[in-house]
Amino acid sequence: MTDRVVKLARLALLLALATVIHTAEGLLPITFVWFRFGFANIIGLATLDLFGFKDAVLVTLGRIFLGSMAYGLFGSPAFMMSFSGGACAILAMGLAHSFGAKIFSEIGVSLTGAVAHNMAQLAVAYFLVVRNEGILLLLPVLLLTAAATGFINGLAARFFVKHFRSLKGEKVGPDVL
Amino acid sequence: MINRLRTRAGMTLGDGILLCSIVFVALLSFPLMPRWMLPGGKVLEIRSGDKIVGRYSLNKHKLVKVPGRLGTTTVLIENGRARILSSPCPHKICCGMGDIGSEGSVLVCVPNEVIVTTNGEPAEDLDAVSR
Repeated sequence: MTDRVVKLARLALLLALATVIHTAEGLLPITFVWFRFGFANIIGLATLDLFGFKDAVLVTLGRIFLGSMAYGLFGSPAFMMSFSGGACAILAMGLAHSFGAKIFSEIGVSLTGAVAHNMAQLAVAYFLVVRNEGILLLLPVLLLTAAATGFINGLAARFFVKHFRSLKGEKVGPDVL
Repeated sequence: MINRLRTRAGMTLGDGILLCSIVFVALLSFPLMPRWMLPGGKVLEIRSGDKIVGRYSLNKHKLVKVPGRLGTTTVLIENGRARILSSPCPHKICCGMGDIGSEGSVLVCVPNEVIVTTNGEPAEDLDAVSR
């Protein structure tokens, strides 16, 4: 009983954190930061690592839903892109996490998620919004940003997980970097 | 150096391979994507000032001499692509613009007032019908 309540409280905190990061990131001026860092995905990745796939899906889709509510964008094309990107990212990360646990660390899982996110967004943008082959010219740029943000987020997620576990009193390995 | 970065960041070999392959594919797709996506032009249209000098097929090898305000600009059409070979203008920016082939690209020599554009085949069917 207590275990379940503790887990629920922790998941609620993670979801709240993810929503806040998601919403705050949307405030960045798009003129200078024309891509999303996807910092909210740090929380999704950490949840995947700490609680498993189901809860990670809940946290990721929950934060997109709540974030879109905060902006009043629910149901808009921007929400569709955000939603499909998030769903594909968490699916890909779940696969990479469960099947590639020996091969990839958090960084590899995060990279997979970032690439899946950007590709899904590009596909949705093409089919729902722009309908012009020209938008596919963005692919190389999106891949490069996915590589950069995926790497950074993976590293951040590792620190997050490590800190979270040490707060819980679990033994963790030595810090890197 | 990469090895040191890898161990310092705690990356596994799989991470490194994944990261490198993503960057590799991204860099590779920079030049390749436009060629796949944009349809190749069919017709090369050359203008000098406000006159159309001529329309040429991009598939036929041809050297076109275009009279301009300063002198003669030569345009080379070869293998479905076109470029400006020589020009009497002072900075030779047009010669440095490289070659064009995909639909809707343009080469311009501003001092000599020569404009080279690639077009698709002129549309013969109707855009839309309303009744």
